[in-house]
Amino acid sequence: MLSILFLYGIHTTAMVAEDASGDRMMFYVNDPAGRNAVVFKSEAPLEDIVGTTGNISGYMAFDPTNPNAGGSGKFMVPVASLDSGIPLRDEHIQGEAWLNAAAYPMIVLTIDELKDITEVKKTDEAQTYDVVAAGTFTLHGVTKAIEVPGRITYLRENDATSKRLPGHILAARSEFTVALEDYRIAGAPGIVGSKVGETIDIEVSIMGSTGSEKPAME
Amino acid sequence: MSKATHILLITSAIISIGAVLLWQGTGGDYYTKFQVVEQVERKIDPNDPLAAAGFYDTESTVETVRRDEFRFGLLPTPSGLFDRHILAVLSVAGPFWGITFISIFVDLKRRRKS
Repeated sequence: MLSILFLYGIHTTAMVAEDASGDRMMFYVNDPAGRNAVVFKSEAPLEDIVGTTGNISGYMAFDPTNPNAGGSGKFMVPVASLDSGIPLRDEHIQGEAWLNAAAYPMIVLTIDELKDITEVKKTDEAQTYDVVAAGTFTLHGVTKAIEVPGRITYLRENDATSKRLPGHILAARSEFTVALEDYRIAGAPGIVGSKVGETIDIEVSIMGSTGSEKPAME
Repeated sequence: MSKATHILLITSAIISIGAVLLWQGTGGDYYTKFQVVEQVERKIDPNDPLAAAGFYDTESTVETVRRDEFRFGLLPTPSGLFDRHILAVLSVAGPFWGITFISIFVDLKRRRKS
């Protein structure tokens, strides 16, 4: 079951240093209201599963004055925070046969580069781009290179944005799929392919802001 | 078949029918749930600065919600003996059928002896 989630970033003490460009703004993903969301979906012949978590922390680095310079980021999600609506199933997800939260407590998405940046809309107050984020995805202790399509929107701080988060805001959303086999997740015998899909769809919708606190993640 | 076995049989049937009706009436899920996680369509607020900025492709978006809702499932998913998730068609009707079958078995054995 498994989920997948991700988060950008994290070693907080090294966050700024991790950004290759000193001109990029740092947008910290750390919404205390839990409005960020990672959703994982499994479709299988016997059962469809939808799970989610709002426990996402990390950062995004992006320069709205020079969007073509790309960006970077890192997001993290604790495996223990995944919620499928059934406590016993959540226990199984965290168990050794699946995500093994004890050994691999975090799911991490690291964005090294934004490419194929295409402007969707631009005003004085906001900029939206379609992008392809290239980086790595770590799940179940396995790290693999990944490229995911997404959309990012930069909102300059104003009265409307300040109602949601302090400072300038960078919102991002993406949908992608991961194969359990790629991350060496075998699951309980006979379950993958019948009750759990061989691939898991992941949807991410997050907001970071320049005024948010750096997330304290380890 | 003894009168007691008859009563057990009828009771099991009634409880089973009731459990199945409750199961179907609350969604017909495999597992009992007290909280539902599902995706619903949400109309985007036109005043949302993200909408004005082009963050969304359409006038609505899919939102994942968690809400308290009881769904009586076919199978129980308890984390312990006293977990409320033990409620399910199988765990409610199963014990009655178990007792009923034992009673039938005892009746048959008695009849053979006599």
